[in-house]
Amino acid sequence: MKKVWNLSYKILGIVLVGFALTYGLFVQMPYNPIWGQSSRNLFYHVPMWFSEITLMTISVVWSITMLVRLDPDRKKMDYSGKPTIGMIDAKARIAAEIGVLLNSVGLITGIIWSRVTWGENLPDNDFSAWWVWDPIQVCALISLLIYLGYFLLRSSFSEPEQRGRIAAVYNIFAFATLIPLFFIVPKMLPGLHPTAEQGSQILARKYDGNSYVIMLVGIVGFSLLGTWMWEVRSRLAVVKERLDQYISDKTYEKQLQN
Amino acid sequence: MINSFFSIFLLQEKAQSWLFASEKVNAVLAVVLVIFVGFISYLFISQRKVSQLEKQMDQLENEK
Repeated sequence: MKKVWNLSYKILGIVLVGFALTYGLFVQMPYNPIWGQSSRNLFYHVPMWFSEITLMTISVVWSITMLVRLDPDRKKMDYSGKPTIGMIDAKARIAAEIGVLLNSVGLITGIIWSRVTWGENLPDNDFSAWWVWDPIQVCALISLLIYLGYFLLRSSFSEPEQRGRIAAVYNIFAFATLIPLFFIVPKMLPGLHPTAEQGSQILARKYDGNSYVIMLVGIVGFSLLGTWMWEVRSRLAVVKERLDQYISDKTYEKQLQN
Repeated sequence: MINSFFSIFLLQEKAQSWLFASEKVNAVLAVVLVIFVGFISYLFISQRKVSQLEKQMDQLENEK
């Protein structure tokens, strides 16, 4: 059953992203004098943020799991397959890393999109051609910096358990900031994005149902692909953790024999 | 009102035309699909390698 689920979510992700990539390029878009054909970026730019939130949710769930399992009896390696603190911490870290990657891709696609639309008539050396201080753009940058702080914090501790514990607590607070940064602050301030009040009024007239469906397909598809990336990398981290434990156990046995 | 209704379709066609007439969209699609297929292949290959490593690790631990 687990194998079927593992395979089916990956195939679903491939199909959905493939559909969003191909159909998104050919679908008839409602005319918009400012956006032109660049409005198709909606199918690739928006899913990045939702995929990021999906990955950050995975990350925070593993961080909470780790704090719950920080029980002295569970710290020792268990070859029966029970994950150790190091494995759980690695899963939380990897999900945050992929989330940061998606955040960066979302920021870059947004910058390019604004450059060819609102900033089209501005010269390349004009900073406002690339960065428009839109509320959600700034909030996305803040969230990126908050998660970069998470990695910085991790790197400042050498003891694995201490690092895992403190990073997990930080991760919970970092995740909590995503809610106001993505869903509350941009709605309170005017801006270019559809989540801002003015933007949503404009979009309501400019977008048809078709576009929303492709965007939703993209959101689910990219989230599933992100989850797949996380699965592969976290499985590798678990193998590495097991190997480290195996080597240290062997070394300990040799020392006892000597 | 009827005129304005049809003018929307005319504007849409105008917007669509340059991309499809020049067939640039085919080149864009080809590049996007090559990247996408490459990425998916990379994930599948990585997954297979990780599965092999897991099996090797299981063997090592069972020997213990």
